[in-house]
Amino acid sequence: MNDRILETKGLKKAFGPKEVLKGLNLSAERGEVVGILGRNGSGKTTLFSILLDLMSADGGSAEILGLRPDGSGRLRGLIGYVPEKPAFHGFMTAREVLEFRARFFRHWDMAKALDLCRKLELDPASRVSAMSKGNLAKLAWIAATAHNPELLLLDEPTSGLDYLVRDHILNGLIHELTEGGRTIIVANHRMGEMGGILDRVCVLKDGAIAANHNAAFLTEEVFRAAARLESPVSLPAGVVALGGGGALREFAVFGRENLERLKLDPAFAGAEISPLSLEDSFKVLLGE
Amino acid sequence: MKNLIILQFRKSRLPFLVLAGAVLLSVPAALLFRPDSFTGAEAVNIAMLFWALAGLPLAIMTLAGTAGSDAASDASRAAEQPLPASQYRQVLSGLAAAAAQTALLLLAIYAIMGFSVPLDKLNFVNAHVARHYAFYAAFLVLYSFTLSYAFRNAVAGGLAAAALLVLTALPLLSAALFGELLLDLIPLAFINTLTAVLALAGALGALHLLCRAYARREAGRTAKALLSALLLAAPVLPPFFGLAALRAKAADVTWPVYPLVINSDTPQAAPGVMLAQKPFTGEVFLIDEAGRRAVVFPEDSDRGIPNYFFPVPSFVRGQTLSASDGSVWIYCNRYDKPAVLMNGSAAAGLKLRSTLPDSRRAYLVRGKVPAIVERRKNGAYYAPLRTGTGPLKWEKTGMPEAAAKRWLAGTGEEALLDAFLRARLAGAPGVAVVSTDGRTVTSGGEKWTVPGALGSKSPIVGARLNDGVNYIVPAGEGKDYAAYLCPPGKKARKLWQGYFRFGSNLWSATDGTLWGYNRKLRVEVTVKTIFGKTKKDLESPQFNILTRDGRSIESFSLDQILRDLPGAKGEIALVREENGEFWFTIGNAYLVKTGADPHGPYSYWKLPQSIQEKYWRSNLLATRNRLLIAALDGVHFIDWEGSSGKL
Repeated sequence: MNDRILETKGLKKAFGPKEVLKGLNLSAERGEVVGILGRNGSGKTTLFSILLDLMSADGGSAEILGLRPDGSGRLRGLIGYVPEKPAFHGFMTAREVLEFRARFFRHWDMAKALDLCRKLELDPASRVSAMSKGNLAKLAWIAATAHNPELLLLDEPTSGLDYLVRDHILNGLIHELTEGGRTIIVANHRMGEMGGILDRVCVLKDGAIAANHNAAFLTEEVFRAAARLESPVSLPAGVVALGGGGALREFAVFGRENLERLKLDPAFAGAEISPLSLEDSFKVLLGE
Repeated sequence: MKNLIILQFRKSRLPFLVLAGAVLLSVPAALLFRPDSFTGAEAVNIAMLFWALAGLPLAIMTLAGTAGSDAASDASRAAEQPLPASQYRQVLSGLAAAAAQTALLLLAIYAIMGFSVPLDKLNFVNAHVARHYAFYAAFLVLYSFTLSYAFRNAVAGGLAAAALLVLTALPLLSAALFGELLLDLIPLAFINTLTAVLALAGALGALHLLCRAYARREAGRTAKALLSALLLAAPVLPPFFGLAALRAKAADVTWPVYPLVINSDTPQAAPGVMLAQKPFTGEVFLIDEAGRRAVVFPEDSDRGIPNYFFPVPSFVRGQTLSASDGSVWIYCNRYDKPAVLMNGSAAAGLKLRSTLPDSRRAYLVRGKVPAIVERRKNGAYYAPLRTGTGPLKWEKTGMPEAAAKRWLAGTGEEALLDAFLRARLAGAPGVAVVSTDGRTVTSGGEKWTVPGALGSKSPIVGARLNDGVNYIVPAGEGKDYAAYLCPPGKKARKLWQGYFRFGSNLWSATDGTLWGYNRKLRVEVTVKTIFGKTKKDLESPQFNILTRDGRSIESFSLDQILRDLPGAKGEIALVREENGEFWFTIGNAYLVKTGADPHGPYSYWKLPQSIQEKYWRSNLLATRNRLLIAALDGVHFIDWEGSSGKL
């Protein structure tokens, strides 16, 4: 059985003169949790729309679960999708939403959906038009997972959720899903909160995957180096200046080898080395 | 798809239920507020007619327009696009729901009307709208939805759809009106079908393209939007091209100009020329058998925009009359212009002798000299026609008091003229008068006595045969009549059994051959139905013929020939006799040459297509050498052996 659940090659998309995706290559294996890290407008939602077969690519190819997006909507029957801004018909109750969706998804598990309602404390009788942002997000989570999809696309999935629900989802639901061999592609501004579940982080920048790091690498091999410089220094790849003034400067160093190389630089009179937090690593990756 | 349609139905159920409730509530409202002059059923029917003509179109624009703009809205797309169904199907489900709601409303209205259109008599426009109502409703649903989807705005989409519908329907209505006038100049059924197919395919195709451009954000969005616009405009094109083709063809349609009245006193038209008109351009011209023509009224090019969509034919009434010098007198009366009196020929051109601005009706009349009689506000005037350049010398005619009263009341015009013309006819060359006992016919110095009294004591117009002017008179014979021939220098002799009289059922062909008919003049041979061809009992004329050399033929029948010729119908006329062979025209369709034996060999030629003669008299005019045909595309000729061409 093929373990590659998702693969895009040279994916391109432009809106008028603005090129949003410029040859994006991305892949995900079965059971893998991949974080897509990108700033606002970097193309995350566009990428998801193409993967969901909601939007057609201008160029390149995509293959998801052995299918190519063809406009038929078949792919969406196999994918669980939590949008950044969940939307449902306001005249329906949560139960009606779930029952309506059950007619479209072959593997819909109503018992599971109602069980999730209970776990996430969502009243099935509540009307969508009266739901808070958090409850809409809960309903989106339930709708995305009740048909047991092999692939989940999560676009800012914790947006609007309070701490307890977020914790329940991140530490309960997603773990449960990953342990069940589901593949998850997640885009999140606050990627730090996902840290524990991510296998890999892809940095989406200028319409392409600019960097691709294992989660272990980000947690174990990224350092903060506070150094006194005796002369100007040219920074090698994998070292990013963070700030400081005068002779005292701070750097983020990606990879132990780069750190060793930096230490040997004659310009460095001395340095204080500490691990860089995941949150800060993501910020550096995003170029903030 | 079913679940999607149910969803869409549910989304729009409130406006739908409001509209359906309004339809149902209008029944008790109509009963409650009905005027006294209306019955309950009439009041309800009028309320439903209102719904059908105004309420339902607005309801369609509302329901389909709202559904279309909703399908394009971000909110709906966010809620529905994650569903595993193609976006096009999702959009189509909105359209299907709007169509179903429209159908339900229409069904409710139609059911309340008792499944019939509650009009005693449909005029043409009503009948046309009723016949095409389903198409118009479907068009409005499709286009309101699609354009509202394109504009993301129900109001703009609905109004644009209504405008497109008007643009499509107007030329179709106009073309159908032509068809109603029996001008089947274009394949209207094909154009109607093509329009319906293009409307359906155009709207669905445009919707598909718009969906790909705006929902799936496919590349080439501008091109797709432009192509969508073209597809949406496509159904407007066949009606407009059809109308343009129709107008171009209608401009060539030619009719003869007919006299106001035809009776026994009507002088024969000038031989060898046809006074013809093109009713859709206003052109009137005189054309001779050689194809030379002279204009009476030129083409009227400025008829305005309304006339473009609904071309109104303007018909001219008029007459020709031979002058003593061989030229032709022409009187022409068009409702929107002063009548004219002209003199000349097709070869040398026509000169205006007089305009008759006050003319209501005028007639060229025979008499001791040819003359014109004109009816004016203050009476009837008479002027002899003399070629030359001087003005006409009018004199007021007296009129019997009874005739004057009938005239003022708008009737009895012919009676007035009759009384007047009798006096003018008496003593005119070729006219005989009848004695008071009705048994003696006198012309010039000759007198004939018939055994029974004549049915009418009006002057009798003679016919010139080889031996001079002859008179055929219907004389009483018991309870019946017999036709007597009064030849020059001989006694009256019985010609045929039955009543025959000029202007009634006795005519003179251009070459002088006399022919009368009994039974009927028209013939109906076959009726084609969808079940095949049904032979009806053939009832055709029986002809009595008197040749120029005095040979008489009675009860000549064309039944065998009529059975052989497909679609032979209409008036039958004898147009020529030569060496024992006869040429007949059958309707405006055939020229037939046959011998005296009705079962013997015959030849026939199909004539160029002319306007069906349901409402019109013959479009044919026999001259000495050929037959002229006022046809769909101008004046044609066919000679006596079948050679034909366009003049």
